[in-house]
Amino acid sequence: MKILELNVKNFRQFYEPQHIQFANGDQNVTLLVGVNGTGKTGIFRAIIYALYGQRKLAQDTNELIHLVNFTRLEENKGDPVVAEVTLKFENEQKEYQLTRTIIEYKDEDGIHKLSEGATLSQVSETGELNKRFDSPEQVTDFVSQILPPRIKNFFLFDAERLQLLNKLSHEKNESNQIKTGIRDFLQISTLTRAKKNLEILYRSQMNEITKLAGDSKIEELTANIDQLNQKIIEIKAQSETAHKTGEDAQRELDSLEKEIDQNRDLQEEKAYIDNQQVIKDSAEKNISVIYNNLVQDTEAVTSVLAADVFEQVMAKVKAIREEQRDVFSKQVLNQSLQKGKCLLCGSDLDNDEKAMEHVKSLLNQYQSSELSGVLDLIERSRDRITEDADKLPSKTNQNYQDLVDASEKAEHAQANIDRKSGNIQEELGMLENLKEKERHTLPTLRDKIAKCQVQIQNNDEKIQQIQPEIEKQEKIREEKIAENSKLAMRQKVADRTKRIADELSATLSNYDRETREKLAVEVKNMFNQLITEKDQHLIKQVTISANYEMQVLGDNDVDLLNDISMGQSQVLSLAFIFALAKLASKGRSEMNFPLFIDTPFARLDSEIRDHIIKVTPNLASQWVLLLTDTEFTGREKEGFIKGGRVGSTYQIQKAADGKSQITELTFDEKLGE
Amino acid sequence: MLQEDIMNGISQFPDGDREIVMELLSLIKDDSNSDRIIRERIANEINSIVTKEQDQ
Repeated sequence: MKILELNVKNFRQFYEPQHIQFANGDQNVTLLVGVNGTGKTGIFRAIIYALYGQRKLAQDTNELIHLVNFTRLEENKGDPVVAEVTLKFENEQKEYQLTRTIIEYKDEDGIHKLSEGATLSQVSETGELNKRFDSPEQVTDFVSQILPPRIKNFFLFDAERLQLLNKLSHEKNESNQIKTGIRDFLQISTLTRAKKNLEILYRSQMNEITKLAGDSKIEELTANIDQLNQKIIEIKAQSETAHKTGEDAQRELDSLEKEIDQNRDLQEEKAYIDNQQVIKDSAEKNISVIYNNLVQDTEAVTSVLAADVFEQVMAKVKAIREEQRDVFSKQVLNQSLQKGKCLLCGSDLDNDEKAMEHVKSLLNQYQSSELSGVLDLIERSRDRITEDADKLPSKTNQNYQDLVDASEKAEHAQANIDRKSGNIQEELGMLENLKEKERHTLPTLRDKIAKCQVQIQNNDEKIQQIQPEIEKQEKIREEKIAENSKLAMRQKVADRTKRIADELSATLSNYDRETREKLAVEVKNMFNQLITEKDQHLIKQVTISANYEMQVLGDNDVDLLNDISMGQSQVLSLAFIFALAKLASKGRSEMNFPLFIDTPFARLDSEIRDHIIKVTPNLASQWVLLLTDTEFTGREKEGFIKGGRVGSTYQIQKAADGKSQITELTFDEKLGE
Repeated sequence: MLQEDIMNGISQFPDGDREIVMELLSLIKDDSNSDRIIRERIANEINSIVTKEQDQ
């Protein structure tokens, strides 16, 4: 398919009729350049509307998109205005002209649609139009046979929103649509439908033969075979459900792992904050203990302050003792006997019998004064205060030092918490939630996936057991039917149906497997052709599963779909599109589709842009680019000049609100600006 | 038109089977055909090929 010309009238931003001639042949690149807001996407919309009658694009969030030019509607308030899009295209060496019209009017209540129409004509060699279809549905059906809507997004897309690969691996609904589109594109859906029809036909032929035979044994065998076939269908349905459940769980797991991975730094910060909180709590507890110690020590301080008084008191105590014969206290004598050593002179009482006898006699004859108890108390107090006075300064100093250390530790921890908390304050709730999911959801999902895999494997084994039983019963039935010569011909026809179904099934299975293998190899090749040299080692391996799930692995088996830049991801999407088109078009001349890209370079760095500009014209039959001015700087212009593949260049400019104009430029004119 | 690898696979089919499959795929390509109509048409095709072979 080639798109040749586009004409728009009263359509979107285009007040006056506008015309674009698309380049094809050797110079197959068409450039449409304009600053944002001039109507580039209006052209994209015109193409999609012309082909499929579709008003909305993937990026539209508004429910209602008006296609008729607002200025025209305003000027003709109350009267109908016709917007028209005409697309000329070529398919299988035939030229067609497709026109869609939409009639709307505007009044005080807003804009109202009156009607929509479409015609498709074949253009004769002399330029005459021979009408083929004149209803929007017929026209859409015709175009859909050339480029099925499910795969149109591979060729007509907005690169800024191109999330093809993410959709292939993450978004369930989109992913299923794209996978179905790929199967359609590779004609796998067609083969599958053919095979199913042959299988159903065979079953109905055998049921008819059974009915005609009127033999209870044959009826019994057919019932058994049907039952076994039904069982296989049920088991396959179970496997399909298990596969989908497993696939959903895998998608959820991938997405959760990615989220956890992306938040790993935040989680580490959160763990650091938690650790600092523990340090702070422990330091504050310590401070409280030290305060208590200091309070207890203040009691001793008052006594220490009284130590000077004791100097005078002790002299008096000594005098009293001498006066009262309380030279030494009874307590000293008792302690000397207990320890076996005289506490006054130091004699070894255990080995000096005489000294021992002396101390004992002193104790026996001891006569204390009435003040002895008081004197003992004063002496004990003096001893304690002396001890306190010795220890208290260093103990207090140590307590103060510990207090300072603990306070600093608590303050330091708090400062760390404050510093880090600012970064993650808003994410705290999410992180807690994520932590919870990591603890519970991840193992649950892994378990679910494993269970699904086991179920699928068990089901495959069950089918393998049932299959020989069906074949055995079919053989017996065949022998029974062969006994009835009237049914022989019908049996032959049914056998032939089964043989063709089996042949087709084997072809489908081989083609499906080989195509996935080739597609995987081709994606890697295309990526390396499109990407700059420094990134050509990026992909180590591409695999495409039986369900057309794509996995792209880099070094150390890293899943690249989760680990590449937006630009690289866009190149990978392009590589996938080219690889798919190359395989699907093998031997099919009608499969050359234009590649129509809105905002192609926005996400690509300049080196990749250069490379894409150089390589893409060789990979696509036609390349139409809707470029913003920032995507068409001197560097890109130089790239296009070097490539020598630009056939048409247009500039889109806004003359006034709702009045954009498309002007054809020579490439040199554009460069001369 | 069919993709080259599919064509290669089908070209290995025995005479008669190949033509039936090609007919079947062309019926499927025409979106206006329902599965019931496709089966009826193919049943007739198989029937006539088997009958022809039988007569020979």
